[in-house]
Amino acid sequence: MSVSPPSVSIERPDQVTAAAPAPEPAPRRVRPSIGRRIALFGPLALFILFTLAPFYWMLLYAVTPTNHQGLLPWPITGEHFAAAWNNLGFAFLFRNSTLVAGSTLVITVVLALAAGYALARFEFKGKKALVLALLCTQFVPGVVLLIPLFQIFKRLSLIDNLLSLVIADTVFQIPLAAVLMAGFIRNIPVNLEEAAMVDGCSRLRAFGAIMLPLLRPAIVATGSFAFIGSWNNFLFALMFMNNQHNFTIPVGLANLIGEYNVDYGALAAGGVLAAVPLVIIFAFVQKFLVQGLTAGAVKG
Amino acid sequence: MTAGQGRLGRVPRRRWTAGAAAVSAAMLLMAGCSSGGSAGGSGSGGTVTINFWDDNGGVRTPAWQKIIADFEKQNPNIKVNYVGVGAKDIEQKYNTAIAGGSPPDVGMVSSQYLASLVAQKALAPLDDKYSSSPLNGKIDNAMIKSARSDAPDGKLYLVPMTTTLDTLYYRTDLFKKAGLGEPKTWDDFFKDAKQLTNSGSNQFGFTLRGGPGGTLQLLDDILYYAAPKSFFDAQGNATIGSPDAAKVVDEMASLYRNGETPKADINNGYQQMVSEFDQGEAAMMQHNLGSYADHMKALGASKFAGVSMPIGPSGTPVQVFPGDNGPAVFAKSAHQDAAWKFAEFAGSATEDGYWNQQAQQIPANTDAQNQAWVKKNAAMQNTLQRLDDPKAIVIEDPHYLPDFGNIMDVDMAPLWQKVLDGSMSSQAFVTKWAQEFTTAEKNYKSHNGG
Amino acid sequence: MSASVPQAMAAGGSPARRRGKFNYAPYLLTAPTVILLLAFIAYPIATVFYYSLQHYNVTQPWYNGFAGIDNFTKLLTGDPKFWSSLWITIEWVVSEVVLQLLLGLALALVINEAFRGRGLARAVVFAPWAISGVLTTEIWLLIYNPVTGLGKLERVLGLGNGNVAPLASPHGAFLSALIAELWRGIPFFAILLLADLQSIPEDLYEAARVDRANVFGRFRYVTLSHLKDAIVLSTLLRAVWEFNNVDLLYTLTGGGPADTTTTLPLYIAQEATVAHNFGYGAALTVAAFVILLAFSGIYLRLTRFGQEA
Repeated sequence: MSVSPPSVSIERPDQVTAAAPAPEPAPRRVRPSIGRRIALFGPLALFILFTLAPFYWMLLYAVTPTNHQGLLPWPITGEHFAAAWNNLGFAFLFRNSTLVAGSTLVITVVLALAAGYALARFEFKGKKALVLALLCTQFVPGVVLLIPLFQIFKRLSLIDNLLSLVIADTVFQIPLAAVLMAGFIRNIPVNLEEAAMVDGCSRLRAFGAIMLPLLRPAIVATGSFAFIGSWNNFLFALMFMNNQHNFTIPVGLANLIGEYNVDYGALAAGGVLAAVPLVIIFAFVQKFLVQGLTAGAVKG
Repeated sequence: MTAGQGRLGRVPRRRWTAGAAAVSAAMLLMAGCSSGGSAGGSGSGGTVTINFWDDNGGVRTPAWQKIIADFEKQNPNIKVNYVGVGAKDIEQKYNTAIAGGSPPDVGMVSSQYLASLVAQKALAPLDDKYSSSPLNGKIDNAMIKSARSDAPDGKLYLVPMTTTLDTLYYRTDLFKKAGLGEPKTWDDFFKDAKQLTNSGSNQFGFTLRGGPGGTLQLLDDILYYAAPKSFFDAQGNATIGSPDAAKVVDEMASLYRNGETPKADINNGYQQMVSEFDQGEAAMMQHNLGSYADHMKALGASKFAGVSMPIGPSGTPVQVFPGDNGPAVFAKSAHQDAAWKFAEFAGSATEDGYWNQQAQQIPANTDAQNQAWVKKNAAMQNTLQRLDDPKAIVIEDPHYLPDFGNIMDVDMAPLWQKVLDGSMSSQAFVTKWAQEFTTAEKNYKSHNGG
Repeated sequence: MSASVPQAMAAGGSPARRRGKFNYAPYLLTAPTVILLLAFIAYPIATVFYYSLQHYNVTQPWYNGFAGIDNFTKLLTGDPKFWSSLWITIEWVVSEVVLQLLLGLALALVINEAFRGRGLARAVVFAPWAISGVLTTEIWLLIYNPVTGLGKLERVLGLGNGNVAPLASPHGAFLSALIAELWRGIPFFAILLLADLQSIPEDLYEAARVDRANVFGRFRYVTLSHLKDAIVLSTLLRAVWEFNNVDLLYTLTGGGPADTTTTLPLYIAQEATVAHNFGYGAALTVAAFVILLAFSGIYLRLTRFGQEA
């Protein structure tokens, strides 16, 4: 690690004991000063505004009738949501997207944990080459890999099968996930595992009991990336699926962009239908993005 | 230290098995669903399922669903699996499927990329099937001719179903207020555009297409203005590099530079252009019959009209024939007969008429062309009149050139934007354009027995 | 920090490895990943390299055949668009990644603090990223369209006649696309860095505070040093992603006006799909690959990735 001022001293690592994963800690600071609050929340408020503005546009188009002038969402109509749900067959789109993205999430996280652990805890021959290879897989844009991938899946009889999307998405998400996971794992002092193993755990038990809970933020972050990356994938979903019942949400939405007109209302409504569940899920899941390492216990 | 080494275990067994079970379940679910869904095989008792790809999925889906329902009723042992693909992506999807060995049985194709599909040997020639079918002679001759000319071997590779003609839309109410009549010549057009511009109140005379698809419209403008007898002269040189061509390009660009069109137009694709016209910002717009229905919805019949493109200084009316759109049968299909049956059905009078009535485009079936709804579409009547005018030159863009898309979109589209912002001269622009076409034509002819 | 901490915290620290015994564990752990990548990425990439040495155009098959290094010669000496698109790509990637990193870090620091409504704030920050790219491009197209977006806003608020054209000039187009991409790119860094921040042991902050380090000191010596490797690698991966993902740029500007926002991957897509010139497109891809490889190597060396102080 890089430079630190010489005067800071920390208790020696062998004295660090991992406490049992604690519940979310209460806010640890006293009421901040006004100046601090403005410094904190001013930029946040600005950013929230910047983030929400396009959403407002989207909402405007989703709930007002077509050719509605004016900036306020009144009068309101549900016709676009009905159109998106019925005409697009949104139920199918949703099911397919969820299946594909969910499977990608699980497989990617599991493989990333494994590979990340190997990268973080071991020195082995070929390690540098592996990291380089992981990087290299990201260097080529999907559009030129389209036809060879198609041919591979065709040979595996996976064209028009959602499994091909899961594989393709996973393969493109793993490099980032593994590298990130390695970083997270590296941040956890190895002594915690050592301590557990001294107490008689196998490495496997040590991993499960000690590491996994501490890796909750990592799993949430990596899982989110894998899920979103797969959820939003358009090119492969369009090219590998030959049946309306196998289309995912992005492909369905793209069908609203016709040759001569764009059904903005249905497009916005469909987008809202697709995004809202994700945001709600994330609102719940984000509480795992909390400090897991409450090694505040200074022993000895 | 009992380090458990050399074992895969790194996740507590419970979670591992639970995770694996979940993943396996999901995969089984997917595999099960997909194999049930993927079509293209023979079912029980001789039912054949064919895959049909629509090139404007979403918008045209309801119309096709009715046609498919009618077809399946008449042909109880053929099932049609409809796949709607967005217009922007259909060409790439065809190319990928062909290269990967999974094309559909039948699909809608357009002249814009017909030649490229034929070059890849992806389509089955339909001449024999057509000549022995009841459809023979019922399809508009001009469309059959155009379809044949788009293929290097002159064979028929699709059943023409529809076409659409260049249309100049203008705001009749704004024109009346300014005391102007229908813009019949190019001089009228440029004069009216300037007169109807009032930038203070965000009113513009014209909305120009500087972005995607703009070069296609511009190419036709050159043909309308310069009125050459054919696209390539007897020596095989493109005729679009003439001083007349330069003049119309220059006048168009001047409209933009002088503020008679909105500043954003340099990037305009179709969506932006039509929203400017429909929201009342622009008094004139150049497009084709395909947007007639949208203008009706947005403006209403009393506020606009669609007429043929203006006439150039020579006084000769021109009609650019844009080519056709219709179902083609794919060579690798295992169900050629069933696929042809469907294509033939789509081209029949009732179905073709129905489809075009929904789309408000010109039916290829001559019987359908006499249906009542055709006469009610004023823009269609106007442009059809020009097409049937014996004095008019009917000319077509060279879609058959494999380089067509490359020339129009990759090479010339950025240069058109350069002309618009003033960093390239119109004469240099049209000269280069003509050169590219001439070279492509020579290339093409030398490899196709020209 | 005492001397033993860097060692223990170092990359590759492993619980008591028995000397001399060959350790299968890392190979077993990475095997599934390696197999998947070999099967599904290595082979396709190999075909791209293969085609870069060919003339390959399915619509003009009479030229197809072995080309040797012809494609590369043309690329290096006869194709000004290659160099211009490369330069634009560098501008694009650098500005995007730097801005996303800085703003994302600032944001992560803020939503790392505990305050009421933090969950909601985090969900809002996350939201742009949850939106499908298809929809994102359409929304921003609407916003930049004078009739339906900024121009409409201007007119309705009475600020002007609404004849704005953010996409009409090269600078405007680049900036507009930049902002749109920022909108959906900042959440990535914010969430990532938030997770990283959460893994910093609280006692390090306590110890620093005990030593009377102020906010900046704590930030520099605790936060930044802890995040260094994560930042370096995720920035690199993000840069590569921005390099290759051109859907927003393509839809907003089409590479225009006049090729002024055409990045190299966009040029590759044009050559490979519109012009059907797959051989040359593959050669351009290989060139991009080599450039990215070289850049990664230099970048990782310069930032002393994985090395201790």
